[in-house]
Amino acid sequence: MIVKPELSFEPNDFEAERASNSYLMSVMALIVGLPLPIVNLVATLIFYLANRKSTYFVRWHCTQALLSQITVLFMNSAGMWWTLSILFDEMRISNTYIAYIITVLIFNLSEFILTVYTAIKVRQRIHVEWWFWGGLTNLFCKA
Amino acid sequence: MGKVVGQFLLMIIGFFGTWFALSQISFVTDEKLAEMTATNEARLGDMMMEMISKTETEVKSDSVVAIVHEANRRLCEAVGIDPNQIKIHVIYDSEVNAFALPDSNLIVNTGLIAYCKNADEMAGVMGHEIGHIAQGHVMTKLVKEVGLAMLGVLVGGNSGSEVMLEVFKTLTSSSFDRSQEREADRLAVDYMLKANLDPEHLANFMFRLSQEDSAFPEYLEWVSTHPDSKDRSADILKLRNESGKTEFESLATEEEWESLKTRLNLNYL
Repeated sequence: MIVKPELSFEPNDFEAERASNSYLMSVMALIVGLPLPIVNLVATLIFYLANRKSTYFVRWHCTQALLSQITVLFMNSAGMWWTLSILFDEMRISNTYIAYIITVLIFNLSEFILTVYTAIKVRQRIHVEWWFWGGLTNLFCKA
Repeated sequence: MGKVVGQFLLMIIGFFGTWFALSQISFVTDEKLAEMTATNEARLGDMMMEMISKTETEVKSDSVVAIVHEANRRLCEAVGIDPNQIKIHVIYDSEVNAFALPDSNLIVNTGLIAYCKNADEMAGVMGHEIGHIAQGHVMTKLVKEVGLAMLGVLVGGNSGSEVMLEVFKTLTSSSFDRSQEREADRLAVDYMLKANLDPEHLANFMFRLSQEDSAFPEYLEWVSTHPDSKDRSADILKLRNESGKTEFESLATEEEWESLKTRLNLNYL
């Protein structure tokens, strides 16, 4: 799930703090923004835009945080609309719905733990690449 | 690039695989859900009727209760609903109102009887409320507005009377959603036509009520819980005319109706 490749450079303390904050931003927004999934994406996007011209290390981690939020946004939005349809429309609670909500919770929880872990490691200047999102970030973010 | 695509596909498979695997677990069956709803509904209905019996006086006069029951019987039998399934209660209350409560309880205020120009108008309003009952709108509305969890707490017996009062208010003083109101209107017309009662009376009732001013707030209860009464009155007339039916059989003559109101001492409006 996680790889920690060696970087050819040592990020300084300021970079580590900014990069770590990009993850903290999505964690904070997740807590504040529940149950509206768009809130954490917007928060992470603002942080990304503010730092897109920053150093490679900061940019890279802001991008990874943003891309992971976009993925979560899709699954959370579907869950939210499904729930609203049950509450305000004629849809009924079913096994498929409960299974979806549990699946989304598992993915969100995993993402949450991963985000907190990465925020701590990045603050310690350790570069953390997530499975899939790390590779995707490498495609977007060139040194 | 190929590696990222592969990982993406694996993630998609992981997500849908988890979802599929979890959905094989029987968290809730239709029977279980229906049973839970029916039990909750019966208990909620009992609790609400107990609350009403403490605060309101039920009309016992046979002649009054009889015509309300007769309206219920004609409407229900015409469409294959067991009339005994609907639990009719006529209560002394000057508000022009009738409302459906959980467990097929239908409350008719004396204010409604007093306001109706004939028995068929009352039957039309009852048809509308029976429509809500038949379509399960009452519990749907409660679940939406009060929440499933809160209802669970309520029927668990730990509820405060204030919370129960809120639930009661939700059912008596707020409207169902627009589509449910329209559906109940359509059903009322259908019930009336099949019961040989003229839906025009329901249209007249709605139109008249929509014209009332706020000088008599007791008139406005059914209007406030049934918005767009004027438009709906027109829609009811349209449905009635489309049916092509022209011969109807009134529930009671105007004399019978007026004498009933006199007996109830309801000519105060």
